[in-house]
Amino acid sequence: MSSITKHIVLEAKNLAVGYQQKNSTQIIQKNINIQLFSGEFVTILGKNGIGKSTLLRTLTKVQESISGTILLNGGKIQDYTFKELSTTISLVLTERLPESQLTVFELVALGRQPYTNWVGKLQDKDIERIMWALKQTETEELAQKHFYELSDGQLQRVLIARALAQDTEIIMLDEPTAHLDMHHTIKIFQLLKRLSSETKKTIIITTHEVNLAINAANQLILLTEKEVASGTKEGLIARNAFDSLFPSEIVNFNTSLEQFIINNDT
Amino acid sequence: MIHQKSYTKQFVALSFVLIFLLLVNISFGSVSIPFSEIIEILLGGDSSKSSWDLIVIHFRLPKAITAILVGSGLAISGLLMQTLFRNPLAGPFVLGISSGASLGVALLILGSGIFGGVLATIAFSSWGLAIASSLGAALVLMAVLITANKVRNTMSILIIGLMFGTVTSAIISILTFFSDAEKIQQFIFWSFGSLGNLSWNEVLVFFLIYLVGVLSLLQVIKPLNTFLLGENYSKSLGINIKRSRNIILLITSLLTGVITAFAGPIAFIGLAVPHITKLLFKTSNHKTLLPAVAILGAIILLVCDLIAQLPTSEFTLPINAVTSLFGAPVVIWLLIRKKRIYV
Repeated sequence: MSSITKHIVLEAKNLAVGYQQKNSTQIIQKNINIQLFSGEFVTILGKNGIGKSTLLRTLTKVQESISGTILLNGGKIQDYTFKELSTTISLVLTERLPESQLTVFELVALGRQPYTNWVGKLQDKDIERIMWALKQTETEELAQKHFYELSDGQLQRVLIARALAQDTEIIMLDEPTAHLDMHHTIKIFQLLKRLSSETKKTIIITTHEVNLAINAANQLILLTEKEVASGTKEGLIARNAFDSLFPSEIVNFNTSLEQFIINNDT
Repeated sequence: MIHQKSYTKQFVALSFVLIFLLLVNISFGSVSIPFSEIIEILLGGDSSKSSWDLIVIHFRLPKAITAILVGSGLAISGLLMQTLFRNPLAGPFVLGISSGASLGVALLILGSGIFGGVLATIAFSSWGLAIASSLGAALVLMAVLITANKVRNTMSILIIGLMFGTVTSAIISILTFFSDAEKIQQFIFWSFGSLGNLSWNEVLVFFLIYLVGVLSLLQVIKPLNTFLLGENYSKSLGINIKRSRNIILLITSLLTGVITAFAGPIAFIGLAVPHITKLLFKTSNHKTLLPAVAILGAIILLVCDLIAQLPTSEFTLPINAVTSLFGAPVVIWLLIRKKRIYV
């Protein structure tokens, strides 16, 4: 990828994330310095409870940062209204959708809300965009089904279609492969990777699929107890950054295979 | 390409049913008036007996209009609460509004027995009851709104509403305990609900407040649809959650408050009509659902009122009992057939 055309979409400077309560502040991660570019597929890795979702939520302004700055296209994210954010960042969350009779088409169409009039009337352009999103995620066949009829893998693709329909520069996904089998997990990774390079969107995911992420991502963000490291696979291997991702007694990073492998004696 | 279903046919059919039921509702009562005379009176002419004019224009017509306003208003409120709380068991009364209204009326009726004086004279005018019940509803509404803005979680509002309801019911119990039988009976009669007894002036006030509530709905159609995805998705779609939530709470309170003020606490409609509508229309889009629940709510309450009149007899059943007796089995039957309920 040529580095000349690269454009910094999202940048964090000395960011600290965590929870602020009335008289106590719990910092989960600090000294986060990252730069995310357009068209990049970025994976956030780290063990359970290390702050992946907290970081993702802070980067999307769902949660306030403790300190530091987040720049979205050069502007402070605090200065963005939720209305403005809705046309810049879209989300795919892990939470279950409440029961309803929404069809796949209607669900994806909700992604067009930031652009529609007061009753949410879809114009030709909106429908075009929705059909495009369905096509990209290979969910056109499902359009008239109710979303509760879908399998987990289909639902995940539909939720990605909804985010695509929202037409934003950035899509953030919280553990998009959490309930999926190996086949569907790889399918989602391929889809996201392809979408990021073809549409020039910045796609950021948190995931526990470390081996897949290492090979697919343009940039990796590793959250460990010591530090937040970010960079390409090669850069991170050179710094031995993967070694501190997990405690070493069960899994270890194998530099020649570029994969985590389970220790022989377990 | 079919993208969105059109429901024009259903709406036309339901509108005809509504008009038909309105005419049927006006035609039946303890005094039997020929249908042709009814039409004559409604078209502004004179019927063969002047007492018939009086009955139709001053009793049956305002009552039928009240039924339409009450039925549609409660159904809309129920739908709003079910979507806001993402809970199929929510209804217009979950916020404790009706308990608040009951408290207002209880304080007036039962309090007039205990404290006597001016209260006693007010207690017997219908405006007195309406004002007391509005004040009670408004009091609980304020309490709910103030606390709602202190909690983040929408589910907490549901529980807070239930708690306010419990407290007001407890106060009513205490008031009842210290009241004499006559006052208690008067209060119980109010709690049976009544669609009749409204003068044209009262119907007009009722209608104007109802209109304010219904027109405010236009602002929340989009937020309601995003609520189907949960609050985090709504926020990321640019919806101002707090503002939308407050508007929805205000509309519900306004509608249920004014309805309880003029017609008493009417059960079942608010909870069940949204479910019946969702089963019939098979959609969750509020652009379709809101007008649909309004029409179906009006239809169902007109039917209940017809049953309550026990046509050709002199007796009238309490409307509150009829809505539950008629409605609960319908919902059970629908659910057993369809096996799935939606928020």
